[in-house]
Formats: sequence, structure tokens, C-alpha cells
Amino acid sequence: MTPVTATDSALTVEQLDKHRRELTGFCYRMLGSGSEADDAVQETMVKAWNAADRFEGRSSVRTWLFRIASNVCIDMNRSPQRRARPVDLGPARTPDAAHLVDVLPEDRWVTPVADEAVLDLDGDPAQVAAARDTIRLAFISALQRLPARQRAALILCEVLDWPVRDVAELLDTSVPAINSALQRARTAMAEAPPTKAMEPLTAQQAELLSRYLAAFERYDMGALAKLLHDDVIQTMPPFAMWLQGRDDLITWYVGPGAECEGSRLLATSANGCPAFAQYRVDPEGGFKPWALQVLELDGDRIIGVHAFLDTNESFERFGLPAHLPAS
Amino acid sequence: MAAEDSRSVEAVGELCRLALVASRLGCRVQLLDVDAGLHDLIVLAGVGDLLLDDEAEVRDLP
Repeated sequence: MTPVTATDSALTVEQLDKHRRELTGFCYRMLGSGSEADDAVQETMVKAWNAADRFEGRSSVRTWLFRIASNVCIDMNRSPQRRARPVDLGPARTPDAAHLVDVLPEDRWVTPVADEAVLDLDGDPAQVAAARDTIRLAFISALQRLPARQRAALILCEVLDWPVRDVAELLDTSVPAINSALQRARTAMAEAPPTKAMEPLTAQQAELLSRYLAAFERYDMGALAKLLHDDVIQTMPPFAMWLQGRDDLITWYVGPGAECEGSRLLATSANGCPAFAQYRVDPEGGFKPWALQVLELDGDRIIGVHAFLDTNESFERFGLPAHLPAS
Repeated sequence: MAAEDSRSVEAVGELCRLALVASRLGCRVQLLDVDAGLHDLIVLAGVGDLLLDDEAEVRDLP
């Protein structure tokens, strides 16, 4: 193999790598999967490095990278199946373990992403709050229903605020074609179920999260029930089943979910929402990863618990410990 | 960049892709004895943390 050195390239690592987070955010919105977004960014970077000596500077490095990333994501979207949330795929089920037989293939559900992997959390607070809404699970799921090029146009124009002319050039099409794609995309997105915008956490909600952590770790169903909205939902990907209503969630926790008793939670954030890494008691000592819980709040109640059970997929990406010692 | 160089980059890119997938599956992956000229590419491919400069540490791997 001929050695490839940095001097072969007209671009430096720093010039390319500083766009990684924004590219990851774009690819995540395109693909609905944190790990696939990482794969797409990796391929984008390798392609960029491979072609760096042909970069002529007629566009910015950022535009050039997004052009490559768009093509990579569109190529990865050849499958007719689209990722979604379990709530988008069927009705709520009763809190019965028999429903656990229906397991979604790993490319069928939207997977979570760490906020810091895709957002500049040190930016303007209002912009950070707006950006958080664009990585919400419901928004990501709604995006997946769009054809890939429409999705790219919508993300670039309306999430990343690119001029239509630049997006037309990036996608090798015309301004009228992009405007038409945007119109169709907006119509399709408007048909998605409405979701409540996530405001920055209030002191009351921070307290709510503290109480949730304490109630869950004590496995105190009475305390937990007081924190849940009447119509709270719980999803548990990769299982297709989902639950709705406080009573059904509590029935689940004391029934099929009873082995969660004794769990430990670590606070994190995912998809613009507060989240907890849940570790169950490990019979061999300490605690082992069980779920990444992404919580949706409305006022002083929890309206959604999205427990992603594929911890192999998520914990490493979130930088979470692979095991917790006995306390 | 020569065609042969381009193929080298693709090969290293494929190696990085496999390294990322393997580490995601819980495998402990280290990239050893990598030409210094390739370090930048490996960092860009998002697996720079898998580079191991000190081969002596290999003995410590399980």
C-alpha cells in the first residue's frame, strides 16, 4: 500500500473536522439513527479526504462537505422501509408481556442521539432551544416519511437556514424544484401528529426529574404515579408494543417490568429532552445497562417515557459506563 | 493524488468502518503500527481514539 500523507491533501484535518457536529446533526435528521449518522459522517470524511486535492475552493468547505454528506445519506436511504417510533406503527397495547413477541428489525425504529453529538450547546440559548426541537423523536420520525431529497431540502432550508439557491446547487437541481419540494415536504410534515415544543427546563421541571429519579430508584409506584400525566405514553424499542395511560404504565412496572426494581439511573440528555441511563441489578455484582430512557415533559408532568432497550447501540455512543459498581 | 493513493485511502476508510462497527459491538479494537501519514485520515474517520502508539501496551490487551 502506498503511504498517504497529510501533505497529499490541500485541506487540513481541522478544516474538515470542525464541521463534524453539524454534519452529524444533518445525517441524524436524514437517517433517524445515531449509529447510521456516525457511519455517514465517517464515509463523508473519508470521501472528502480522498478528494481533497481536487477541492478547488469554488464553494466553501462546509458546502462541499454537505454535498458529499447529502449524497451519502440519499444512497443509504435506498431501503423502502423507513424508521419510525412505535407510536407511529400501531395502536397502544395492554400492559401484557405477551405483546413482547413483536420485535422490530433494527433498521425500523428511530434511535436516540446525544444532544452534544449534534448541537452546539454553548451557542445562543434561544437558538439551542430551537435546535433541540429539530432533533425531537417525533420530528425525526416525521422527517423519515419524506422522500430522501425532499427531506434533505427541508433540513437544509428550514433547519439549517441555507438559502434555497445554495440547496438547489448542492442537490444538483433548480430553485423552482427545491421550492416545490419544500412545499410538498411542509404539507407532509403538517399531517404529522402535533407535538408540544420543548421549552428550556423550568426549576419546577428540574425538581420533577429529581423526584422521578428518586421514585424510580426506590421503585415507589405511588410517588412515580404522581409524576406521570394521565395520558403518558411509554415506548420500548425494539419492541413494537407501546403503552398509554398512567395506570397501564404502573401495571407494567409492577408486572412484566418488575425486574427494574433496584435500578440505578444516571442523568443525561437525548433528542433535546432530559434522559436517564437505566442500569438494572447485575446478579454478578453491580449494575448492568438496561435502557436509555428519554423523557418528554409537559408542565409539571411526564408525558412520554421512551425506553430504548438496545443499550449496546446507545450506551457506547453516549459515553455511558458499561457497568456500575455496587454502591 | 495518484490512483494508487486513492485506493489506499479507500482501504484505510474500509478499515476504519470495520473498526467503528467492531467497537460498537463491544469488541476492544486498537489500530497498531499505523503509518504516521495515515493518522489524520483515521482521526477524520472518527476512530482516532483507537490508535495505539505504544506497541508495548498490546501485551496488556485481553
